[in-house]
Amino acid sequence: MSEHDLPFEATVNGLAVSLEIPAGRTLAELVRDDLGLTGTKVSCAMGICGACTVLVDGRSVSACTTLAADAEGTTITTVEGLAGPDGTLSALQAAFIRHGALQCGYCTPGFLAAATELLARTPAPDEAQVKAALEGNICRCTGYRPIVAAVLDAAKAGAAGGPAGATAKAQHAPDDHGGPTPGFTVIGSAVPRVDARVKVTGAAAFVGDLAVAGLLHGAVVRSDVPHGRIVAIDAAEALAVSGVLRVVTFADLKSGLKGTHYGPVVRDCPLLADGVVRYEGEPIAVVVARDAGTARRAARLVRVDIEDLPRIVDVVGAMGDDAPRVHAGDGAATAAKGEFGGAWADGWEPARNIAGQYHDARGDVDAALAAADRVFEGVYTVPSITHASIENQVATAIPSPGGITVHGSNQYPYLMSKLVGDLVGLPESAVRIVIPFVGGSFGGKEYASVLPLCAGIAWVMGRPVRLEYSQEESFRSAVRHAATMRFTTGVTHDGIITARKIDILFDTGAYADQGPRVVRQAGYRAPGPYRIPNLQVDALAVYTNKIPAGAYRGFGASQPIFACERHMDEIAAGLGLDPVAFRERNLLGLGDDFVVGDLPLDCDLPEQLRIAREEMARPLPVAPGDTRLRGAGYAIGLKNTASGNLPSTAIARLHADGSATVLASSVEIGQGTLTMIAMVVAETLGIAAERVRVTTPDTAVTPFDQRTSSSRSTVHLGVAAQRAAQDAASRAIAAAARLLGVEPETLRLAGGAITGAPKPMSIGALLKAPGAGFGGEIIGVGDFVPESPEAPTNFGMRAGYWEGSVGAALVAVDAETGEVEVLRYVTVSDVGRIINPLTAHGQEEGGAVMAFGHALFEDSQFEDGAFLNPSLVDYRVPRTTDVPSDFTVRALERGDGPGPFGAKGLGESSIITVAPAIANAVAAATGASFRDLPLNAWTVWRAMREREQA
Amino acid sequence: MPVEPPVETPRDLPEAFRLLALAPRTPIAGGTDLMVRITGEIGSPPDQVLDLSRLDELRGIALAGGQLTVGALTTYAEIRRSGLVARSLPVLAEAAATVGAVQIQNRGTLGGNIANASPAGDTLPLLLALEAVIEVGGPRGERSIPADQFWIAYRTTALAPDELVLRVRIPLVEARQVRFRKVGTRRAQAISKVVLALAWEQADRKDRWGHVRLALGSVADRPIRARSTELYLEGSRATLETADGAAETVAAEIRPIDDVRSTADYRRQVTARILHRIIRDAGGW
Ligand SMILES: Cc1cc2nc3c(=O)[nH]c(=O)nc-3n(C[C@H](O)[C@H](O)[C@H](O)COP(=O)(O)OP(=O)(O)OC[C@H]3O[C@@H](n4cnc5c(N)ncnc54)[C@H](O)[C@@H]3O)c2cc1C
Ligand code: FES
Ligand code: FES
Repeated sequence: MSEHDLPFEATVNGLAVSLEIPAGRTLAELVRDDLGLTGTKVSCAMGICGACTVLVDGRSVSACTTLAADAEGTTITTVEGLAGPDGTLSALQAAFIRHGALQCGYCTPGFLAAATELLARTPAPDEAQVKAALEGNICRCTGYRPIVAAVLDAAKAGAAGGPAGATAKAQHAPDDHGGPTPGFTVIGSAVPRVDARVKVTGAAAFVGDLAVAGLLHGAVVRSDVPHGRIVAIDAAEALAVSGVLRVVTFADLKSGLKGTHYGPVVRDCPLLADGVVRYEGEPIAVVVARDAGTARRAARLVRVDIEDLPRIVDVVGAMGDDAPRVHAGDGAATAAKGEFGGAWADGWEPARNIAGQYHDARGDVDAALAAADRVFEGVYTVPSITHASIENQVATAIPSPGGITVHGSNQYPYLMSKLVGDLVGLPESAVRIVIPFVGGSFGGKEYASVLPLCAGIAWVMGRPVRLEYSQEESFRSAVRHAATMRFTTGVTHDGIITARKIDILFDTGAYADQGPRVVRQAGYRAPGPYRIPNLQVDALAVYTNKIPAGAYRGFGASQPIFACERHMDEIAAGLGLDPVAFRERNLLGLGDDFVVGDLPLDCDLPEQLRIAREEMARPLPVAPGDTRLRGAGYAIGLKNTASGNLPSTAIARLHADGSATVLASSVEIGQGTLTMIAMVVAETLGIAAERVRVTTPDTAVTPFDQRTSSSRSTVHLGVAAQRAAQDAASRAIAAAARLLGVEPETLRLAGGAITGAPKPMSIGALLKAPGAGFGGEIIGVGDFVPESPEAPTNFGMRAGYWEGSVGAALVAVDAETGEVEVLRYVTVSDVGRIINPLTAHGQEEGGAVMAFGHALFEDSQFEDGAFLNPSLVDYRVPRTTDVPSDFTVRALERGDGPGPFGAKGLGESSIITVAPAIANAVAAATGASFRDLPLNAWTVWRAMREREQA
Repeated sequence: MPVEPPVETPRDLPEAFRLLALAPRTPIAGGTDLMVRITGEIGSPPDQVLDLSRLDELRGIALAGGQLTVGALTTYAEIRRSGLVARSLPVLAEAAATVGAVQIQNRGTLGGNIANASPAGDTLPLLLALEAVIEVGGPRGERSIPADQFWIAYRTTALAPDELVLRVRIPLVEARQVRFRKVGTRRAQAISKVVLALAWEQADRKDRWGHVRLALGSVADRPIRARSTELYLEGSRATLETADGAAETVAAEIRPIDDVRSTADYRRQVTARILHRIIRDAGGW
């Protein structure tokens, strides 16, 4: 016991604990590190997000900002202590599972703790009380409504004295089935997520929960200027700290690694600054120490002397003729192509500060604009925003003789094995990437920089190393592109679009990252789902001295759709037309070509619009005394889903007990991919979904999958898993038919047995039968390699399917404060086939609520290149009280998608239309003009004042 | 060499004062503000920490001699649930309810809000408007500081380095009306853009306002009294003309700033509109 250690006794989850702790220990460290109860998560470490909420004497507290010593002598309950000793879930845990109240699950332990206190104090709360009690907990995935519903339901179960889980089916959105879709046994039913139980009990393992023997911890020293030349790095003081092993810089990487740069399109980004820093927060060095606290404290002692260089703080500054260049020679000039490489890198022109570009023209825009009855023009802007997933950026890398294993929180396991192999000089096959559960990503962990850096540091150290970024560091690692977009549209007097010209500048930050890909998709999608005979689009991703911008849910669709749909409302107003009627006049329908040669639209936008209108027509009474202004707005969006030649493979193992295990490399980021795969395989094998286990990715074991992105997993891995199951089933049936001497066509697989013969034969019996020819199990393999004919546009990428989205919002605006409340939201998608209504609605609803933040308050603010609000303290995201109870999710289901049983992907459809729908509603309510996001209170207030004065 | 700062946990107030007499120590109550410095998330860690959590003398709410006394360690949750507060000064519970979410309310203390001296501290304008007295003490004894002499500069209080906030005394006044508004109240976890507390004495609806106290948060480098507006309102009735004049006066009186949370112009105008609305509602027209 050191001088300042304190004795600590308490009852934790019913057990007496007694230990000695350092005086400054937080309750979160005590619970996670000393007691090994890793169910409790830490995210903001500042008391703002609620992820670390535990119960101390029944009161919920943020464990990250509570001194452990203050909990001395108390009774502490963590998520691990909520279930009964026999494993019976509490009513709340069971209700969370039934209602789909969790996706990635990283926030779930905190919500359960806060809700447990609420129900102990207020056994029958109303909706407002539940929302207020959970306002301190942030969920980025679910959109909160299912959580609130689960708490209300658990309260009801408690009041009825019924056992947990007694209430039958989830009360969900109106078009819920509950049971399977007619004609199916599993598909369409609200099967609980396969990962739900581990996530409500705290047993689910995330990268930061992994215990590794001899693990070292790294802390990153970052640049405090946006652009400068590194003159000297003085690590002497940091190295003198006991417990510090080494301070790694670019020079060490250069001598210890085969590759030092990375980037998905062009490898322009050094793992650590290569003599020049190009954005504030760029990693310069990594202090490696025996524990994370020592590393972090020592990192503050590393002195870096940086000579300022002229900085580029916005896209306009970057485009000037004599603008300084973000990448002047050095590494950038010789940058290799990244994993995507190919045509994607063609527009890369660092000498003009351009990272990527898209140009398209059809017809004669200038002539058509000159001939148009009316021409409308507007410049619209969208700020940088952050992903703010509740799990921060984290990786653990473990070198071994001739290989390396990296546990990462990342959407791209197989691309990462290639990248890490190139960095350390190993073939891909010697690099093992393991991805456990991911605590939310939204694109922020597609190409997350922490993984290659961690791998490089561990390789140089020759020891296992973990890099776990704080929330601020995670905020500094990736953003969504800020955009400036000029739309010019020619129309006839009666509202027919004749021409459109679009100029887009995306602020891609200091390194290309996914920018070249994002801007091309943005340009392709920008015209909107309308018939436009004459079109010109020019889109550039521009280098600036800011945080590299990358993938973000919506992938370049959200920004131009905001501009396009505000523009459409402005044109309608200018022509004196109803905005919906104006859209209908120009809207593309089912089977129409968006671009000739691409997949014709397989979504029915006119019908989606009709449904949205119908939902919006329901009356919503005004509360007495509510004098706020009301307005309604609509928006339509279209997103092609990348398909191209992205293959997926799955392996199905049929076991003697009739159950199955699926090996697949689809990353569970909360979207429910494991549940989807389990259901598809269960349907195919004729067993219940809970009899199918699905692995998370481990490239040493699970087969190739191109990546988890672009809402593609349901289609691609879904089909691969379906085929793997069919393969296993047909092998089982063929063997049984041979043994029984019947035709295979007379047999089927159902309920874990071969049926159709006079006596069913179990899989166990089949495996044992002499001459069946199996080992201990039956293995089936399924591949999905989409046959996509080369499309004439969009770089040969033909859409796998289209995500069509209609959003509609009804808002109330306080004229005196400018505060906006969304009173009703309606989102209508076209999903092909719903595999599971819980997870499908969860994606739709969660995506929409995430974008409430983008519409109303999220804004990563920069001043002269410095990032002003790099944490949830000043970067506000939606909370329980921002979500209206009047929230409708509707979906068209025609069973015509390319996925299993006619499904399509749907992870991004709702998110793309929210901001314009809300902005159109606020404009309708106030009569003011809004061309810039977000619509925070003071922006709305100012626009209203300007309108009054005009 | 950086280490976690040592923490001492005195068992009673005399022991705390003895420790404070030896050397200055940074007190920690609920830790909702201070812990981020101890863990190194924000700012620099304090050298030595004095954990107040065992000082039961500083807890609790009492009513005596026409005054409500609230101990420095009393949490927002305790204030919200107190029957005494509900009966004698419900506006205090109303203000407590707007501070943070449940996790903050269960830990955060009134004394912490006072000593932290944030310009956005939500209870501070209310304490100013209610003419609360802050009782402080240390090895050299106790003293009372009126609220309007407590926050003397940006994040600076009248506390000496060896003093603690012990409790707050709030005089209860018969015919006093009090209003508290936080812009963004519906979202308790949001840092306030504008906080406003207004108190006045009035026998009945037609009567003129007396003893008007108007205090504001988030519009200056510290919580402030808006004295010109108080003067303007003194002796007036809640008419439209009064509301217009008061709104104009307060907008001219304050000098808020631009920051990541809002703009100066917005803060000024919204303060004016909220005051306007309160007077309007008070007038019942
Ligand atoms: C997520 C979040 C939301 C918040 N929301 C709000 C909000 O809406 N409104 C608001 O006003 N505040 C808010 N706060 C700030 C904070 O919770 C309050 O100011 C709270 O009252 C601080 O009390 P505490 O006991 O936690 O103080 P501590 O963190 O323990 O201490 C704060 C400061 O006061 C000093 N101190 C504490 N007690 C004493 C004492 N008795 N004598 C002398 N010095 C003392 C400490 O040394 C320290 O400098 C929020 C904080 C967080 C993290
Ligand atoms: S509140 Fe503790 S981690 Fe966010
Ligand atoms: S499920 Fe809530 S943050 Fe992911």
